Amino acid sequence: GSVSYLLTPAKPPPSRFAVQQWLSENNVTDAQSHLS
Amino acid sequence: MGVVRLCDRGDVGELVCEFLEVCIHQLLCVRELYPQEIFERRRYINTPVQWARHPDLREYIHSAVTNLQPWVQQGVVDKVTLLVMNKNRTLEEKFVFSFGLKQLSTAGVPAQHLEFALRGFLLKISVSDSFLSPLPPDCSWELVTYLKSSSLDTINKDQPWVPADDEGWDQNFIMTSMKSMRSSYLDMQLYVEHSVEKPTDE
Repeated sequence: GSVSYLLTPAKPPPSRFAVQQWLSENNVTDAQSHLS
Repeated sequence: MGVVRLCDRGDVGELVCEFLEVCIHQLLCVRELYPQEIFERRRYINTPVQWARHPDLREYIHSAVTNLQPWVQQGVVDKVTLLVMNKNRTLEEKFVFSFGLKQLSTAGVPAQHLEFALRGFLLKISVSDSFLSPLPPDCSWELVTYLKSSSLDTINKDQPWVPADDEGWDQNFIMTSMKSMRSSYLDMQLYVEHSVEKPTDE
């Protein structure tokens, strides 16, 4: 088979922890409950 | 409103990348890689999807896919994968989008044709938790793209995509096909490779 070259973004995505912190700092409410 | 036509491979690649961005949001939500509260419901090509509200996460996904777009349009991307790792950095799941963009006829194709096909992929992703086991807590994810060997010279040094490490990816996974399409202008398949060993004592 042919050789592929593997690439990934230089930076990792935001961590779950960072996103959880953003949630608590911004007091984000659950959008699902407003829309359903 | 007139019919929007995709005139060349660039147009198809642009729509595929837009779709890919939506799929990444959707997969992150369905596989619960982030708290559900950060997602909001939107519609894309007349299909309900989940979209992350976290600004850095949104920018991250958008930037990654935007930088990928020229390669997709040139037809040098073989696969785009979303890897899910557990807290020990062991691979748990690998979602694979496999592409084959073709030259279009001079007449082009109505965008609606492709959108109709893409809708099927989105719907399949939205129910993927029904055939996949729950992930362990504290998983992380990353994107990896596979370029065809002939395309190495297309990588310039300013590209934010860098060579990826493939060590540790040769585990015995089972492959589940999720959706595929074949057409005169695009072949695409979505499948997931996942670990055979899954916790059953819940």
